[in-house]
Amino acid sequence: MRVVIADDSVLMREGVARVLGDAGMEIVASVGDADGLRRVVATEKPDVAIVDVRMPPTQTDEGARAAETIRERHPDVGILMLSQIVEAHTALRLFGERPEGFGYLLKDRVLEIEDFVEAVRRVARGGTAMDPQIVSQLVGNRRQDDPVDELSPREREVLGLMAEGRSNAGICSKLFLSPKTVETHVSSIFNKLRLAQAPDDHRRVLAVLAYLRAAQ
Amino acid sequence: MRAQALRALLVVAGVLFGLYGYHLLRHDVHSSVPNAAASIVVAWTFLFAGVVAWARRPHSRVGILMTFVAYCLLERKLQYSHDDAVFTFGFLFAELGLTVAFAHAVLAYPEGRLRTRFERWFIGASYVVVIAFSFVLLTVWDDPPRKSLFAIHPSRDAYDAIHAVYRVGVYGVLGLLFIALIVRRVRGATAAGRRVLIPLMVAAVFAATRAVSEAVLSFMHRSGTTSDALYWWQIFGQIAVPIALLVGLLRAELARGTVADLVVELSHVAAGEVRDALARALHDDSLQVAYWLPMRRLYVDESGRPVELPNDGRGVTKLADIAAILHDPELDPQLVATAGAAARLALHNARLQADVSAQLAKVQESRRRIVTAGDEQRRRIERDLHDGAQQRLVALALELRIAQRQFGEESPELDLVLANAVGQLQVAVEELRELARGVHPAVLTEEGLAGALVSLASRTPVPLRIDASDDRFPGEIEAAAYFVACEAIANAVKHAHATQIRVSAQRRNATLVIEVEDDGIGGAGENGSGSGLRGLVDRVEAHGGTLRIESEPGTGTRVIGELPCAS
Repeated sequence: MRVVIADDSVLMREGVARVLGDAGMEIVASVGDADGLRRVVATEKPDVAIVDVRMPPTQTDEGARAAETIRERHPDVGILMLSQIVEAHTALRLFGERPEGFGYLLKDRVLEIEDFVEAVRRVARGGTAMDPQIVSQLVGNRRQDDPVDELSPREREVLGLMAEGRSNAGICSKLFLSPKTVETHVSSIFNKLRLAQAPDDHRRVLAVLAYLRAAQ
Repeated sequence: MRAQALRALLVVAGVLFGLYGYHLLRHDVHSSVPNAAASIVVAWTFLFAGVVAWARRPHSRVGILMTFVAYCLLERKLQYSHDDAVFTFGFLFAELGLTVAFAHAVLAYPEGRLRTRFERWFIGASYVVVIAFSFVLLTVWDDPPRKSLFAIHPSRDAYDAIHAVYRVGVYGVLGLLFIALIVRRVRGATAAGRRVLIPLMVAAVFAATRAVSEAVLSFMHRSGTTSDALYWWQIFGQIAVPIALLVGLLRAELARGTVADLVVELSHVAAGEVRDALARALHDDSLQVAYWLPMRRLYVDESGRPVELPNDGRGVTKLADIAAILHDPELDPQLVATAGAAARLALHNARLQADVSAQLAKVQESRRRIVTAGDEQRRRIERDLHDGAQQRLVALALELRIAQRQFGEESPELDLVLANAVGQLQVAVEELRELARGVHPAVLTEEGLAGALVSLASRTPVPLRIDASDDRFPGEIEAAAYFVACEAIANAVKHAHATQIRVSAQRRNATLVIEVEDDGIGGAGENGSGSGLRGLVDRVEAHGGTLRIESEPGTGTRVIGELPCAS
């Protein structure tokens, strides 16, 4: 698995490279600004790029804008955005209608190495990684009479992990549940939220996010 | 006093001169009594009108010019003398009163000055042309018994030919030019100016068409009757001009009368209405007042904005140390000054008000700058925290985590220590993030008010309904609205025990209205829980907005902030 890292902090780049290298990934380039990122993505065609949202020169949203152009020109390259702060509003704007091959995580998530490596793999394979904090922002604060209120605590947990972009298998290992139990929870959730069952993981994330966004 | 004596002398001399002229007309050219009398009466009317205008308006030279025309008309009679020297002198200047001196007085009305370079050129050249023709005619004069002192080649044919050229050139061409100048002048004048100009200008055109007709008729045969009719046309045309001048003067006197009424009216007028009162009294809608601020050494308008005095031909009348009145240039400056003096007290008050407005505007502006600079600083601190300390701490924690993985398996103790250190750093990073958010939430800069409110809602333990416009507003306005919402929500949760909060942020015309409503216990103004909100009043007012708190005990609390946001 070929990875590009873009972050203006050398320390951070080295740390992330080390973590992913240990997990058996190949770091093909590591750069400190958005222009460098666009260039190496075009030449190296990596499976995934780890991108810091804020980069020089303006330290605002260079990384996010570079990610946008990369998603247009190289739809096969997965993008995992890292940010010091994550906001639901920003997340939904960045994801747009296409959660495939896209992730948006708080920077500190790299410290939970197994989860982080899992997220990188998922995004590289065309999956989704949505930060748990955003999911809890979306799930947590509901209006009154919201169907989400009807979910059991366990089902809420499963809904959150689905929104983060995890597959059934991922949910199983996270919650130490059997595949059969997870499947039951998932279909119960879809029933209670009156959503049509989605054929694959990508569509499922989209449906869940769309639901949470619409009801926000 | 000297001018008065001079005018008296000129009147007496003019009357005597007129009597002598009448004598010459009757005995030397045998004019009829009505013709001779009318001719002298015209000159006397000019004399009378000129002297009156001169006395009433010493600053305008029109009176002097009219008096000059009167003397030219009297001097003309000397050409009928049988004395050669008197005849020659009389003939040389005989035409001035009928032509160029007359035109000069009319075009110089009302200030007594010619306005354009072309007018000055036209009048100057006409004086030369008219006198030069008279001189040339004297050199060929051949009409005994009068003899020209300048006669060189007496020839009646030459005289007739030159005189024909004179009639066409001076009466025809210059007469038409004169009419054209009057038309242009009246058309270019403002409404107030026209009221002053029209009577005199109509009379002048009436007189000038007579001169032009002379040029036309020089191509035709003239019968005695037409000649007689033309004579009376000329007489009435000429006499109309000084009468029109007197009418104009009388109107100005009446206008001054309304100024007297003004004194009474202006003593009651509020400072804000003084301009309108002056405009009404002077019949000039375009009138403006510029107030002089001696401390700042500049002129300002009613609301304290700096004003440049125009120098594009608009009339400017300065009232010492208080104000300048900008007005229609056709208005008599003395009249404006009189009105200004009458309005002095009201103008003085208005100036104080303008001064206060100007200072208030400055204070308001600096207050806004201070708040905006504060916001900017908060934004910078937030960015520095994220990009500096927070970034370093995360990188450091990652390094420790990697070390933990590498060496933790060998020593469970080290594993625990390192895991602990990473955990501590994670807490520190989280605290730093909260601190930065409190200083200035990044989401506000990046996503605007709606995004920031959604984020705020996710961190509020009470259900929050948000109805916010996705529009972007100026940064400082978004910040003010956001902090109002933060404070109101915090109060609703902490003090009011609310179970439902509704936040709305919508654009209404050029105003951003932020409204936070809860179902709590109310009474926010009484128990001191609203003190933080009252601090926000300053922030909102600094941007020219208002903040209202409605909080009766038992009815919940409603906080409404209105922030102007010109888009």
